[in-house]
Amino acid sequence: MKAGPSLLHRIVLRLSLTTAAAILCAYSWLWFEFQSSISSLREQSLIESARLLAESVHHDEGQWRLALPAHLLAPYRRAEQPYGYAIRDQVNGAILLHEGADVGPVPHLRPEDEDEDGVLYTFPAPDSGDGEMLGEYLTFTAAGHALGVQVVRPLARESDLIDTVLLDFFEDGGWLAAPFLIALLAVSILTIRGTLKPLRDISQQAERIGPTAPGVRLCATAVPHEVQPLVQAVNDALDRLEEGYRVQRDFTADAAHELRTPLAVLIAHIDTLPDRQTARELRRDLDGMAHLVEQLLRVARSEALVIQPDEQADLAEVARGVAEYLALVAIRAGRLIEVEAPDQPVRVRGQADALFHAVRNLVENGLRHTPAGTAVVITVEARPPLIRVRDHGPGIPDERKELVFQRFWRADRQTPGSGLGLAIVRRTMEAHGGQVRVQDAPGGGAEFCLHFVP
Amino acid sequence: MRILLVEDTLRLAALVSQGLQANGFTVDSFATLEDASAALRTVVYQVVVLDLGLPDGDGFDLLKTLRQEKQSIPVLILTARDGVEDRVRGLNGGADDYLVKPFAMEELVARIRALLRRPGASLGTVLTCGRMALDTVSREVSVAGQALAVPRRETEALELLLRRAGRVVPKRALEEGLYSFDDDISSNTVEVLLSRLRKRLLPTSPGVAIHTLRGVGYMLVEEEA
Repeated sequence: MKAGPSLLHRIVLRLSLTTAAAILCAYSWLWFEFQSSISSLREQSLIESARLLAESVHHDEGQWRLALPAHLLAPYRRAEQPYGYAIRDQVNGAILLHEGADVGPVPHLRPEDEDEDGVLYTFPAPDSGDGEMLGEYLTFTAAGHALGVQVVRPLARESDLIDTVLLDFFEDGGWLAAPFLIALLAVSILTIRGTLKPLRDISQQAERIGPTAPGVRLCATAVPHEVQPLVQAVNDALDRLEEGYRVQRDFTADAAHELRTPLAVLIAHIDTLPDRQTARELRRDLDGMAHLVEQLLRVARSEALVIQPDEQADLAEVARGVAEYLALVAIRAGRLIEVEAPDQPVRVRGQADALFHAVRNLVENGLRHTPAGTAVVITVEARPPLIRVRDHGPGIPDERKELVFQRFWRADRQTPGSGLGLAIVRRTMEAHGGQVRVQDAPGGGAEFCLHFVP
Repeated sequence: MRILLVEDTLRLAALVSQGLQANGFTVDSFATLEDASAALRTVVYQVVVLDLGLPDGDGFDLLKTLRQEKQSIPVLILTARDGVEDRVRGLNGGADDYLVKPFAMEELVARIRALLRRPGASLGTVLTCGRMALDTVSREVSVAGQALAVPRRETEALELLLRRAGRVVPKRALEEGLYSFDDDISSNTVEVLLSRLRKRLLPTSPGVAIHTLRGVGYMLVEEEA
């Protein structure tokens, strides 16, 4: 299955892009803001200068003069500075006073500027080709004359100034953006990881769900509430699956169970027949069927088998129990059953009844294959805990060692048996967290070994 | 030997009655708890064969009543239920044996005989198997009516094996039943005793054999005809 895109990667990528865009926007805004503030400042100062000049104009002894301290006029008098002013007669446009740079033509007051008595204007600088000059033209009245004052200065590139300011800003505090971005990413990663941890936990819970533990459900309380609907939906789906599974299993068990009484009637009938020869033959066929029904019930039981944490079984007792149970059958068939087990109990976590039937299946299997006069040997070992069942038959060829555990698999249709016994054994061992292995016994024959978790 | 059979599957009840009668038992068969209780009040039975799921209640209830009345009559539960809980509940509830359907008539007869052989059960004092007989009071052993001289300990071993004929008698049960704490016994004392007994019985062709199941115990089995 191709994995979907990583949530973490996506969030980191998008967060980085967003933060970068935010920083870009912030600096752009700062740049524009500086630019407009600076030009507005410059215009303001030009207007102020014009006002100052206008207010200081006075007529004295037939001469137009400026009543200003020298230091305020100094910018206009420096040769290298391209500042300049001129006082004109509004009527004929004649220049009454002029200092510094050329002030350019008189701008027209536009109709919308009627309320204002001044106007800003630009004109190409006369000496340098590319530069532009910015000027303020202010009309006023002094000593009964309608006059106008023009003040000019270069429309200098503000970018130099702005660059300096921005550089200062970066040096002083602008670099804070970088650690901020990193901190933001780190917090995001931690948050995502923390949020995803419960999801990893419930993934592990989900791994345990299977036919052996169909009742396990995902814990919905630990996951973020955004994910809870998904967890709930999965749990509901599991409920429905378990129900279906249970219905099927119960049907097998119920069907097998219900067959017992009619079988009992049939067997009792045959057992009381006067014709013993016919009765014996019928009984042999019927025993096979009764056995199959029992095994079906066992399969259903083993499928449903769940070992409780506190359940304990003594392997030595299980082995002796099976030997006692099958002893008569074995002796009647001319075979023996032997048990090699320690005197002390060999306790494992397990269900004694289920293990009894598992070992019983192995011993019945062994009794079918071991030659007359030989024994099926059950060995119990404590460390590690295991049960071995060995016969003296022909053994199982390597290519069949795996097949024998499949349901309804039989080496041939002549020997009795349901083909379910070893499947029941395997399933029982799975439920115990152990396993069953088959190998060749030393000296010939098959040896099945049930391994338990210590 | 009179047996009370409580079974509501009438066809099975009829066949089981027939089978038990063929083996020399007298059988009264009832389909309900009420009828069975009434019969128990008026007739003395040696064994009760009890089905669990009955139309007017659970066989466990009858068992409980019997045990509360301190009646030690052996009860064999005959049922289609074989859940571990059911079996444990039956045996803890005072049942003496538990047989799951379907069963062989031979098995049912053997189990009933085993119950009748138990101490406390009202039975004759003579244990028989094959052509052998052991009088538990006079301690006399005979094969096909011929008295056989058997030493005391071997007779005791034979009695233990006869009481559980067809079933395993664990080696430890024999050791504990035959020897006191003071007796000095080794791991093969019982084996030696039983091999002497086998040798003694063999020439008389008693119709039984004593088998050794290493690591499990011993079993006296009636030889098939």
